[in-house]
Amino acid sequence: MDEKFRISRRDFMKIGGLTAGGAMVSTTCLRLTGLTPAQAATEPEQWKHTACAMCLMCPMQAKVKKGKIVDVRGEDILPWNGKVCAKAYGGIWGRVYAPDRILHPLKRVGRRGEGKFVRCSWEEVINVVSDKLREYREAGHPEWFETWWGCPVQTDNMYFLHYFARITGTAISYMHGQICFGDHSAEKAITFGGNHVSPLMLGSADYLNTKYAVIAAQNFPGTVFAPGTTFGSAGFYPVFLKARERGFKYTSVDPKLGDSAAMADDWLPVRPGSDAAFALGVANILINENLYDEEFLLKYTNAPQLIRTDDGVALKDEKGRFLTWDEASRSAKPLEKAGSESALTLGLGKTFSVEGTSCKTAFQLFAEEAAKFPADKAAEACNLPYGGTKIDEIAQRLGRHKPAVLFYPGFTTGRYSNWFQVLRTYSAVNLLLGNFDKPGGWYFPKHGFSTGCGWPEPPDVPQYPQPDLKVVPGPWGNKMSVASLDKAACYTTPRQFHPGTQALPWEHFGAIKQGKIKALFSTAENSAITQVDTALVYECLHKLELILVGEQSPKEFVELADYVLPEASYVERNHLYTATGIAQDGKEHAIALMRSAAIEPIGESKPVSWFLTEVGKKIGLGAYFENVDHQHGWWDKMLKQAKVPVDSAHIINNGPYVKTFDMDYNLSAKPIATRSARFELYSNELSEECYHNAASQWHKNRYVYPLPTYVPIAGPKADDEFYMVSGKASWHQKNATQNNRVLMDDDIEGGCPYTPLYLNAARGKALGLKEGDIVEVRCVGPTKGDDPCVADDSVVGYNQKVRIHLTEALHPDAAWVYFAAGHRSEMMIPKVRDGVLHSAFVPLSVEPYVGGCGKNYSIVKLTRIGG
Amino acid sequence: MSKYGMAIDLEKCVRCRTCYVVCKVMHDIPDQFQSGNRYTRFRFIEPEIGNYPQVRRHFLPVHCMQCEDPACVAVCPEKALTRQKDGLIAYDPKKCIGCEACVEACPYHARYINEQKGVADGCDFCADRLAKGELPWCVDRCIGNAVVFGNLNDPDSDVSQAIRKTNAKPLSPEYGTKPKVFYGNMNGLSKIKGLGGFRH
Repeated sequence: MDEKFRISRRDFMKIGGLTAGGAMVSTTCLRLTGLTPAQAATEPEQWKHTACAMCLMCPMQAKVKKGKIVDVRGEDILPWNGKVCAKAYGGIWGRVYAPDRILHPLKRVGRRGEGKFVRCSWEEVINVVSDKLREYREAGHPEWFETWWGCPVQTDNMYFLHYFARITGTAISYMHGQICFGDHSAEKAITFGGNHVSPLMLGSADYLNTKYAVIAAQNFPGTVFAPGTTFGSAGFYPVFLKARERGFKYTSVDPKLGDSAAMADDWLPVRPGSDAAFALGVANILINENLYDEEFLLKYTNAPQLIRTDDGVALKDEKGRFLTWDEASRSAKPLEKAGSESALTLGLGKTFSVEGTSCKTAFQLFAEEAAKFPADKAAEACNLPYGGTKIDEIAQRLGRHKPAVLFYPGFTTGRYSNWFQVLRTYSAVNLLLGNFDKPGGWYFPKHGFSTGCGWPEPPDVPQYPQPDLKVVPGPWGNKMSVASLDKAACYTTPRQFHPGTQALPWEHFGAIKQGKIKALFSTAENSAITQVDTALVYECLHKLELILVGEQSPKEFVELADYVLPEASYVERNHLYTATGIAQDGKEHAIALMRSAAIEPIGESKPVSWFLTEVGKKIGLGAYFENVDHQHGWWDKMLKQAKVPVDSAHIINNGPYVKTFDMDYNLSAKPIATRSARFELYSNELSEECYHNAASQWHKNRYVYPLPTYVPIAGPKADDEFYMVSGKASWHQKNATQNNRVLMDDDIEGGCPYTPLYLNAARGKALGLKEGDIVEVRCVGPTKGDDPCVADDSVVGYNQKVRIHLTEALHPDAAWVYFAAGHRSEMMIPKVRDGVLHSAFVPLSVEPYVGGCGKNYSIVKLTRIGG
Repeated sequence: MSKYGMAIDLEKCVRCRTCYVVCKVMHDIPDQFQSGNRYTRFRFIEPEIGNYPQVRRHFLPVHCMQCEDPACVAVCPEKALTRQKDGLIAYDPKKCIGCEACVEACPYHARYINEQKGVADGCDFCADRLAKGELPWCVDRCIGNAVVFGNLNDPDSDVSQAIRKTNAKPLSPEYGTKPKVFYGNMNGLSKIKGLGGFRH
């Protein structure tokens, strides 16, 4: 434990929570449930409609008795059928009613990070922040104040946070997004176009009809995003069970056989970072054995597009149109958009001459790329213990059952510097299989509620300040200034980063170092330790003038705060969510649900939307904030926009609004928004913006090669070195679950009294290690010299001690640790402080163009300390 | 006369841990961070069988087996534990002197001593709920509907049907206590040595 993290949990509970103050004081100015304290105390026992927030937003009912939740259950609609999972109970009893819940505004009195606080008033916090904002605005730099928000289902009205930033000119970032799925959303946009991103990224599929799936790097089906649904784990389990009843089989591809993935029919343990070699190995077999869907490739992809053999650039005609080879006329012709029938050819094994220029099809060039990985060679790259046999079996099974198959790289993202190309190779295999909008394949929901972002607009509020400010799409339907740190690099010519990236975290660290960000407000995230390269993050955070953190539960960012804001929890305020998933009845379910205030905020806690509104009023922008109704009006506007025929009060009183639709397998429902208007095997965007663009910083950079490719990453160099990777569990998934006494006790996972570093048993024994030994874990890479993507390697040399657990269920090249482990804050429960903090061992790397931060890319050396 | 028992279909169990968490929360069992002790009526046994890469991670929820020949009842010196006619084991904490005999005797490690209260505790199939005509919490809240409770004497009851359909067997019957919790689709796991020793 580092010296600087010293506050004890008991001390913090006395100050921040109930221990000293005793009574819970209900707020006087907000009546979120519509009940006075006296009414709440005598309120008859009743079930109220709300939603969970512990992974996503499963709609649930909370049984409230005398103003307190005494039970929760799922809504009586599909797919939940009255059920919620362990996390829902953990949320209420391990977070909302946790004894260490933060219930009062706190002010730092010791050194920053020392964790010494005294209670203060909301008024003091509002005054401090208002003064600071006024100072920055007068200096002409409101952007010196920045908001970092986290999980969109935990954040209080993320749309309002963006509205606040727009009106005040302050900066905002969805920092968490980039370590969650940022490079994945960019990859899907690059390969499939902007109209087809979310369903493919989230794993939306017709699981009930799927025969066989390969699911990588995801603790499927327990870990969100549970593929096939944006509902959360509890909504997907019934679909999974129904699919299994109907013959669904799957292989889990992962260095670790996770707690939930252990239900898989088969496990393929790949060496960390070798996933693209595996996918290319599969692609090679599909091509060689003619197991691909030729008709699909010709009709919907740019596989027949002609690429010059001399420089690898797409062939174009004089009008700048992409070309293809027309067999009927034996000449080149423009490549038409997807869906068109014509006499094109995939050109396998052929070279064409177009007016003297030699070219091949994208398909042929991809086949050449895949041919570099015959099954045995792919198996060698993946360090599989059984040659290429298993890769061959997987490919045969995929080919045999196509299109009722799935080849999914997992939802979360950016594990290593080559992850974008991993995602590209996975996409390529799906294109070969033609499994889009067909029974048992990927499915694009055709219905849903499109809500907009709910921002108040003139004439309801005055004309926004800086009316000529250019705004561009932000995360989750938000809007952001194009000049923001996360967007400026995405709208240059050529683009430095893809607009589908969610944030560019290193830009923020750099800006803090340069004094361009001076004050920070963090809500529903814990960037202090979830961003990679903890040494760099702490160095930056200590430079800030002011850190404000909104939370319910202790964590590192709370410990680093100058002011801690007791945020109302998810069941103490109102929020609208909409989603469309496929339930166990095989139909699309479009749902609009309200996570409502089942109870009043406990203690002095309040929603951050209230806090920012008060700040907005205090700095003279009241006209933009004072008439905003955060509890109903905001959501009513969004419901109206989405043409939902009921308002928020109706949903709160009666439960989710649901419309059910039959499946509609129709790939032509939306145009494909890529540069060729087809799904792209060869990425014209990567070619034009990056790889073949001499003006791009990514010119000739292999990580952005237009064809899906395998880029080997740095690896362990000695017998005592390992890739250290982290993962999640079905009961622990994010910020909301990390300090949860209900979900984090020893017996939830087999009674282990400590949080170990997992090692492959044979590998551990070869190093003379025994079960329960203590080792020193030391980061040895990747360094800047190992990998061109590494931007900061200051964590190299960082070390911690940890107990090991030997397991048969782990690849020998990997050392594995829970994402939850090794927390630094002594305010937190002991179990989650045990083990090693994974992010502290991960140097900052940046994937070219898509900006993944290599969140699993760490190489460590182990030394035995004792038994 | 009813004879109550339970069937757990391991194929339908999605390993979500909801049963465990609901049990602890609804029975108000102190968490280990407050009490300093690992109090639980519920455990998971997660044997890892085989060697890399041919390894399977199994998963079994384990609680009181409501045995027909219960070791705990036999050793309780105060008759705090008694076997009722319906097969359920009644427990009267007022009679318990916290001697730990039942904890030591149970081969399934299904009981523990609450040191703050000085008495033993364990799963009673949610006797209070059964008395009100409600199902045990773990049955009621199971996401996969993997846990079925009912009358073993009725061949048409849900539990009897589930046992037949999933070829459910008691866990480690060699202990000889005649457990009434039956595990279906065990995939060769009927006998697990060292019931308390597995983890991860």
